[in-house]
Amino acid sequence: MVEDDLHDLISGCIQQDRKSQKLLYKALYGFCMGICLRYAGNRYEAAEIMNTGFFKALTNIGKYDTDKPFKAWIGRIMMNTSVDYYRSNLKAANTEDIENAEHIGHEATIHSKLNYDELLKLVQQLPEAYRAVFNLFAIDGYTHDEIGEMLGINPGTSKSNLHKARHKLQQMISQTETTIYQAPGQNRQAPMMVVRQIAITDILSNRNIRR
Amino acid sequence: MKTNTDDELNKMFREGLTNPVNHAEYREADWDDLEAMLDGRKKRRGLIFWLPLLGSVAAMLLLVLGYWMFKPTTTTNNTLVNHSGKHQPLTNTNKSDVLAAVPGAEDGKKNTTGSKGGGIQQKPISTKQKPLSVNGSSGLAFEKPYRESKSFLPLSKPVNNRHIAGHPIDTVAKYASIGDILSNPYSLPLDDDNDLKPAAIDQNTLNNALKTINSKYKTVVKKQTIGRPQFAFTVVAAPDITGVGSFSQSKIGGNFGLLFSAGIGKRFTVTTGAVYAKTPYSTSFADYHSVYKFKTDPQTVNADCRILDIPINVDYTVYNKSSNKISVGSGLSSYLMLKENYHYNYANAYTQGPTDYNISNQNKHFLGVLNLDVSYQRKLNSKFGIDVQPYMKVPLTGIGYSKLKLQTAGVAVGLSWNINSPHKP
Repeated sequence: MVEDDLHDLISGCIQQDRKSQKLLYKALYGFCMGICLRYAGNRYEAAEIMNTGFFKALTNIGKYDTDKPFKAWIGRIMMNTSVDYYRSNLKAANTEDIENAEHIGHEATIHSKLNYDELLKLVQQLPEAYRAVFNLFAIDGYTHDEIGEMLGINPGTSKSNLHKARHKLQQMISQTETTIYQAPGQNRQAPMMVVRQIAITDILSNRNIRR
Repeated sequence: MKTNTDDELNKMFREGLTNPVNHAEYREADWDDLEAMLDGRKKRRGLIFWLPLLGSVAAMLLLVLGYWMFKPTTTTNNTLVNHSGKHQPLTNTNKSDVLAAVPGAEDGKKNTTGSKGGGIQQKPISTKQKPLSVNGSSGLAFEKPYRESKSFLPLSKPVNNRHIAGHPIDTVAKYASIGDILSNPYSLPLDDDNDLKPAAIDQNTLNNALKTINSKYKTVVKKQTIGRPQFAFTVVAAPDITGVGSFSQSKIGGNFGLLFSAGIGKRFTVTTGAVYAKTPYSTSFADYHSVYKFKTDPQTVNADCRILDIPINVDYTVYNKSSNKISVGSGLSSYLMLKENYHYNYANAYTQGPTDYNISNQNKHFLGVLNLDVSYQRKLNSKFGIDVQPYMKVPLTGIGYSKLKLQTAGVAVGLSWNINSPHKP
């Protein structure tokens, strides 16, 4: 849906027209859910975060500056809502400083190209505190100072959690690579099959194939 | 090398995850949830919109109640003696005025200008006037035979030269007393003869009649006082304990609110109002219901809820002597869940999983809780009293987000203000 079509729907939403609200919701469902799935542990959490974000957007849509891209505006709301959710629900998550972080000696090399579902599954398997920092830093481009402020942690903790997140991701990817090399006679489809065997349930759940 | 690897990892995830359009399929149930949130907001806005109107209605109600409270009790029987709109004290020293308040009698008095006293009984005016015979027991007897009168005419139209005419005893005897006559003067049988004159009434007869009036008047006032609903406001504070299914894991909470009660008859009292409750409790996770799928189930859940309790109860008075009153009651409460905070406790402190879940204004349970209570009231004076009320609240439906069988027991202590006490202090 192009921006002009969105603006027609936005005009209806400003009038609190329920049809326009639903059409806008459907139009941006995939985009917003994609953001929330990255920050949430599963589809249920993601849907809860997304609806909270949509509720904020629809009830404050009068504040939207129509000169700016709407998707960027609502994407920011989704990200902020995800952070709020993290802060209100995961206060006990890991908050070690960088000084206490364990030494990571081996850095795996990225050999394989994973698809969206597999990458999402890997991110969702991260502990909540690592996942939040990794999303904000590696994907959304925030600095550690900004992340520290957003999550209510100090920048050192943010660095530590990012470090651990990367290490864990590399470990998970390495397991996939190992599986590939353990079956050298197989073709390029092998790693995909392995990942699917590991996480088929969660991936299908994320895509709403299995409820 | 390490930086390159990190950058490569970041890039892979950034490129793979930042354009996820159409990867998550649309689910109608998610929209239903959002629509419920939007509808909830609309309802809250509606309530705010109606608040001024509700406030106005409440103010009008208080105004009416206030008028009722301060209205002189003697005016309740004005209709007994005064249909002309003038208030006349009903005392034995103004017996003549009693009759003078009757329009016809007033007119008759005016027509007796020059006569002393002006009382009907004192000044037979016309030479045609025949003396009244006296019904010594309770009423007036009029000498003029009933059959001589041609018709009954109301006194509501101009009644110049129209007065109480003499009638035989058997005609007037249908009135139980002079009180009845006076209480309904418009129905007095009159001659339509323009020459009718005020009847002379014997002083003793009038005294007896007025005693009867006063006696009846007091009875009426007493009856009206007893039958009048009694209204009271009560400020309550109540510590209580709340548990799920039982009180084994109960925690102490608190309530504070304002109740309004209306006494109906001698025995029954209807009470309603609003009570703000702080309700903490604990439950095992086995009793906790959640749509969220925990990777590792918590062991227990600690909850802290803020509830607006709107009860409507009926109490029956079983004992009411001197200053003490005991009643038993029951009713239903509506719970508006203002805030629900749930904290999850895991068996292993290092378990990764949600630790808290907080929601606001999402659950309402209309008439979903059964109230049972016993009340003791000690009157301090006719206006104020102290209430002590042990109570129990039994859920008829699952309460809150987790649909728990949340039961509460406590003791409410209150200060009552009887806004229309029957006895002035």
